[in-house]
Amino acid sequence: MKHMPMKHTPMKPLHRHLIMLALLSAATASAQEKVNLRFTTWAGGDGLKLLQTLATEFGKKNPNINVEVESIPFASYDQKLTVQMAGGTSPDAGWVAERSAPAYMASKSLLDLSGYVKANSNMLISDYAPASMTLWKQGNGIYGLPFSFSPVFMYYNKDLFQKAGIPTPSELLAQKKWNYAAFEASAAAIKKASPNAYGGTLLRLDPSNWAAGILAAMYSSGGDIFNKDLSTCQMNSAGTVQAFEMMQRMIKDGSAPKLGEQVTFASGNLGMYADQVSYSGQLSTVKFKWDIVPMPSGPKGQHTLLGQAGYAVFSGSKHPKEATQFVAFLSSAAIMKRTAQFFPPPRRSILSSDTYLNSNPLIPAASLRAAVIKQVSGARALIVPANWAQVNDVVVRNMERIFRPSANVKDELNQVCSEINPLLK
Amino acid sequence: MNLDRNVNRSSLRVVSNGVYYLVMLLLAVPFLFPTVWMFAASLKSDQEIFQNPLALIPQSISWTNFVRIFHDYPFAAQYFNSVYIAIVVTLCTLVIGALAGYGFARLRFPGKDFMFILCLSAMMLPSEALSIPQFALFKFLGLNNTHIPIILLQIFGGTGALAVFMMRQHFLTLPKELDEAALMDGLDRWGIFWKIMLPLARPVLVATAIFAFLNSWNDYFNPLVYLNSSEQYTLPLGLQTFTDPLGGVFWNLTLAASTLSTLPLLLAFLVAQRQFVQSMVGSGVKG
Repeated sequence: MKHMPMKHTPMKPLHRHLIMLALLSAATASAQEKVNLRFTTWAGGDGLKLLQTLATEFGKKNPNINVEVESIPFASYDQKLTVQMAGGTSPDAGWVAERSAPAYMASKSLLDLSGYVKANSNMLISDYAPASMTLWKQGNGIYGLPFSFSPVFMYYNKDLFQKAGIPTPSELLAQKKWNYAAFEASAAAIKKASPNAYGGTLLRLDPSNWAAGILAAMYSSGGDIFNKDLSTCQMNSAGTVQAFEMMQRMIKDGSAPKLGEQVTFASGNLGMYADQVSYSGQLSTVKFKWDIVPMPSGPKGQHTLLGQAGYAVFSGSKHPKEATQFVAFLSSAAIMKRTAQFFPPPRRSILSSDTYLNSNPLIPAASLRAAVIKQVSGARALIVPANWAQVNDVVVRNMERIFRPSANVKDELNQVCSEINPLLK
Repeated sequence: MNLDRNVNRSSLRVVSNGVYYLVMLLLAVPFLFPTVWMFAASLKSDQEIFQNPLALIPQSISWTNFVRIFHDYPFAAQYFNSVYIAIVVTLCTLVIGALAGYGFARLRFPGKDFMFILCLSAMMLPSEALSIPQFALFKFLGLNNTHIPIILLQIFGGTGALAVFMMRQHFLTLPKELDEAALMDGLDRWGIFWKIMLPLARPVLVATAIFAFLNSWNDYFNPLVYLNSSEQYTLPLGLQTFTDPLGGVFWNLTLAASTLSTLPLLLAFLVAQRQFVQSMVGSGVKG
């Protein structure tokens, strides 16, 4: 044997070094492959804790991915994301509010998830209530997966109704008499019986969120904010005027709090208040009895606003594959069952399940069924133009004028539309 | 007669002083009420705050809000961040403002006026116009999600520029003869600055310190854009995170946190009040 097999050759120091180097670089390469994802949300309290727990669980299942959940104040959420996206450090995935979705979609900031959704049959997209997807679909693309499907309904204070000696909204609903005339009359009766309290309101403390409650009344009278293709303002349509005139009358006679007056339902000084399931979290320690009913019906039927928010993957993400994986994980039926305690789930299989109906310790299943599930069919998602922030600002600026006791609501809303129409061109 | 007149005069003075204090007291109410209310509300439960919004005295005093903000939220870390950032910003602003202000007021060098205008422009440009390029710059430097941009943008932004401007204006009002006399006595430039000018600028330094501290303490936009994790947040951002799962505000916690976040400002103002008033009066006299 002339030549010795290589394996018997003692390794030269140089070789050893090279191999060590190769091993070392392989080790660092695999460490670098660990992907760090940023997930943004405006959730606080227990909602934030749940998201953080879910991120940790996801990290355990996918050891190469680490998800940081970042909580951003809701009022500044879009501002922060816009600057970060423009500055090239976009978060990878996060919550998107219904009102901002069109703006993000218009600026191509959201990733199309349809490819992933179609390729993964376990996403069960057919399980989502069709109305929950309208906002997130554009052409064949799917730009977000809703996690919250939350109709606005009416909270009422049983004690104040009892004191006024009038039938409660639940009783009126059973007699099919739960309409806006009854809402207004009940509010007046409560004010009369409890002068320190207010009968009810469709407005919110935050003026920029004016649409949340009053839209239901507008829809039920045939009104709206825009026409179907968002090209004309409908704030001066007969139905809208009717809804605003009702609130003006109620503020005038004192049965509804004035604009800017800090009265909350949780204080026990407000007979009726329109909000979503998540608000019940603020009622866990109140001393009065309360219940929920669907929004009243109006001349054009019973409609309400469907609050929505979705998970999206931002197109600025450097790890779109992993970010999509995380969003798919959050949207899976198993996880949505857990987030359902805060957010009514858009997956029909969960929404109608007993587990969901019994998940809220504060609201009895029967009330939840009536106010949430039965309302969903008549509920509409608010579809807005990409410059919604500007449009909304016009209404907010004019609110004081519209609700002045001496104001002609129709004239004021004509004025609002003359300011909004140019923004829609 | 004379005695009578004196008695009348002194009793008149008592009455007019009484009226004076009464009016001042009444005028103080609108300024004091929100602060006192905030403190009172921070001892109430969330529902009680809105039950009778104007009531000052809580039905039962409870400190749980204060315990919860420290226990359930990273409030202590946020508090520390705000304090240390404000102190660093204040000290650096003072050093840079005094040195640059003195330079612009007393030294002669080419392009002085142009550089002064350039410095002032930092004060004039709206932050909206700058935010995206600045953000890109700090990203390039790899400093996003650290406190450095927040500190630097204060020191070299509007706050720093205003400090330079204020110090320069103050040094301009001091007679040049002071410098000359000191030069004759053998002091160099540094000695003049350190031993003569700086002690004379104390009221302006205090005023500058107060607004630098205030600007840093209240800065909302920069921390919002640059910081990503709650532990890194400063107080103005932290105050907005006491919310329910969908962002509804827990007012009792927010007000307890607000109460604690106003304390350092009150303290700083109380300590520096005399100097601050002096500097205001001083600037009036010189005009």
